[in-house]
Amino acid sequence: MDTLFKTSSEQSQRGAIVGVGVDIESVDRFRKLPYTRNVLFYKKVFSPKEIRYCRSKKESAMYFAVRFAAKEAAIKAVGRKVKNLCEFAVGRDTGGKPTLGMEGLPHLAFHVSLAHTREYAIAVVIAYSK
Amino acid sequence: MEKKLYDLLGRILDIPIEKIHDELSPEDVETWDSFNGILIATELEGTFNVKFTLEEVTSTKDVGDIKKNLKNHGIDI
Repeated sequence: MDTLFKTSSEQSQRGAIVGVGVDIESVDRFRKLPYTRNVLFYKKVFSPKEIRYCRSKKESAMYFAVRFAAKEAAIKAVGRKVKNLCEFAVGRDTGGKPTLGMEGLPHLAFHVSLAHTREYAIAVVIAYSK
Repeated sequence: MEKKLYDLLGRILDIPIEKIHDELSPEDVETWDSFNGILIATELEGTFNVKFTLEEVTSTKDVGDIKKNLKNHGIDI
């Protein structure tokens, strides 16, 4: 809860919330879609950096699924169509906390929270003006 | 060409080919979500050697729209 309060405080200092989005994905869908046989799909959705990061993990499907959920949640939060899912980049800050950035919308910033089990991945995104 | 498209849609959406028609939309098919929408687009790209934008993928309202998109990319379907 401490993180939530801190996030709300940071948000109020930075600008107004412009949208909130949430998405849930099945991890199994990504298990059934191996990278080596579905490169086109992964390149359409994930940046090279995201692909490298997820593929470096033993259970890469969980990492891909939660990032996909984050991008879908971000689209809902922003409330507009995007030309390329790679416009949204999920990363980590120096403390390991997930981050989300979007090309083409420099006036917006995001708070993102990710969670996954072996079965499901979920993401919540809050978009706010800088 | 149409059979190729219907085979692909039937396989990804897990529905019988006989149920596929131009007016069939994501609202009619539980399995036609954004994940499968992107999967359909990437498989179409591989099958028909075309390249779709995400806008084309997300603005697709039904099977008829997929055919229109393919025609816009020079695929006679």
